[in-house]
Amino acid sequence: MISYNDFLNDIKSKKITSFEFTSQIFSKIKLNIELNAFITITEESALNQAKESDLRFKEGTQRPLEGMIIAIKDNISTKDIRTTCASKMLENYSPIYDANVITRIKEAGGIIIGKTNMDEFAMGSSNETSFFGSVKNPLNHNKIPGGSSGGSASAVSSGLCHLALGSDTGGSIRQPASFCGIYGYKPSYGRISRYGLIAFASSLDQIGFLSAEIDSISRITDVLSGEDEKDSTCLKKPNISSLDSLNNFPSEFKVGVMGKDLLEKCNSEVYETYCESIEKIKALGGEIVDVDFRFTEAWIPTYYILATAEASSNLSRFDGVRFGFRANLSEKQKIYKTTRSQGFGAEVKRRIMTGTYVLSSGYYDAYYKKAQQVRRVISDDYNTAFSKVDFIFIPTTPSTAFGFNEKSADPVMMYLSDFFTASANLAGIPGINIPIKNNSEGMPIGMQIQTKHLDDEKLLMFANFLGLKLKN
Amino acid sequence: METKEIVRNIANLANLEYSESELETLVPQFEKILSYIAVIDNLDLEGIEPLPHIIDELNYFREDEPKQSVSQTDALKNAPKKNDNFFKVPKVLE
Repeated sequence: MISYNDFLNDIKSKKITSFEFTSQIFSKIKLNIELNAFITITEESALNQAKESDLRFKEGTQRPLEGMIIAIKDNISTKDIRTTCASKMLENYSPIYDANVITRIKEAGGIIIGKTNMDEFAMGSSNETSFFGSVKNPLNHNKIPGGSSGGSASAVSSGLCHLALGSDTGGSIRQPASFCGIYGYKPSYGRISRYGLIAFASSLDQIGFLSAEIDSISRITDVLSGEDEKDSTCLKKPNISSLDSLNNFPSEFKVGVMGKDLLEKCNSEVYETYCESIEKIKALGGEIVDVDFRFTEAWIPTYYILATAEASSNLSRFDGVRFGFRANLSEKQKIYKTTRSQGFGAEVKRRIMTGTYVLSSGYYDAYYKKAQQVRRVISDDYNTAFSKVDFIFIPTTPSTAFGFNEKSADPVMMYLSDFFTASANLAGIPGINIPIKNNSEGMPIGMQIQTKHLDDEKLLMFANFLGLKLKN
Repeated sequence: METKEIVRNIANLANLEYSESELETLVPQFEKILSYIAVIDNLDLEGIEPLPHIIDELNYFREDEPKQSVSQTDALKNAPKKNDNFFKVPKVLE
């Protein structure tokens, strides 16, 4: 993995130029082509940006992300660079505008090297639903990298970028970060503009970051957060300011833990790592407090009802008329049905079906309304918990990275791998995966910190703290 | 209603279609998903206000002044079929 701080030091000591460094990155991407982490690479524009970075380093006019090598999940719109959502539906779609986060990265001197592979329309936990094929976990090519931001996680973990953008609807940043042994941060809902993020479930989706270093995550968070008039769900607040307080470590703090019955969903190595971590947190001065959550058996059903309902509505725009794929139609075929049936993959269609079902007449009160009520309970329970504790500390995933085809035949099994992550999206709170250690087979185990909505500065500081102290 | 019939009906609402052989795989999966999410139907949620969204402020207002809009060229750029000024679609009236 590569470090942006090391890069800045090498620039300062004139060991390397941004142009040379960026060129090396593309050689490395080509050597690692079998990971299938990228759908599109943007070598020419990246090298041009690197030249400008060199000029600015020389003149002393460098911007906050100058020369940082950044990969972008392929559901974030990039002007004139195809943005596919890893779907046949958008295989040749080229956006006519940049997402707000892309505009800001460019203005801050970040170098965009390409678009990363993902589960189709971000629907999946293993990156196996991509139209462009599965992504491999760099630590073991027979294992999945996690999903849906699997390409982003794989690219960071194999040292192909300093940082990658992802999106997290139910764990899609934190889970692959955990499986690939890196940091993965989902900011508070409403802190980073979703303008230009192709919507899956609008009330849950959040753009966030994956990196080997918390420091790089903090830098980019400070640049990309803050209000945007083009996203009405983006709060009218100034940018997050986390970098300056990243090392303000606490001497006393309260950490909430969930009941043992919930931790039993984990396999033994994850559970043991969790218990070891709790002991270390105690030794660091942390007070451990039990926190209660109601209806936990309904967390994942609630998440799937709301996410698929919103998805069925959001994905109705893909009709083969104005943009994207259109099926070759025979005389009797209907344009919408034929295009959508051929253009979407099996998992996307399954979720559209589930969403349409829960919203359909006669089922709305039984599913959609009840799910919104459970969402209220989850949000209230988190509020109660955070009136007693500063942070909640839980595993990120119940297991380490699994093998290809291990869960893909059983959608419900796959959905359960989001158990520890989806509740944060439902409550809108921030969460982050911190890499702890590798198991006996060399696969990473990660733990998750969550905190109160809008306390992102505090979360990043604490992730920096535990990241340093808990690592074996 | 049988699950297969429900699936056919929902597919129609969602503008999707499945072949008979695809239905053979989908119907048992759909049954499993429905019985999994049905957990929620057994909860006592009496009196709990639904939470549709966690952000309360949901509007950005601006002065009603004309701004640059998307050009026709850009709007048609990704069209699967077009002529000079229009999206082209199959004939819908007989």
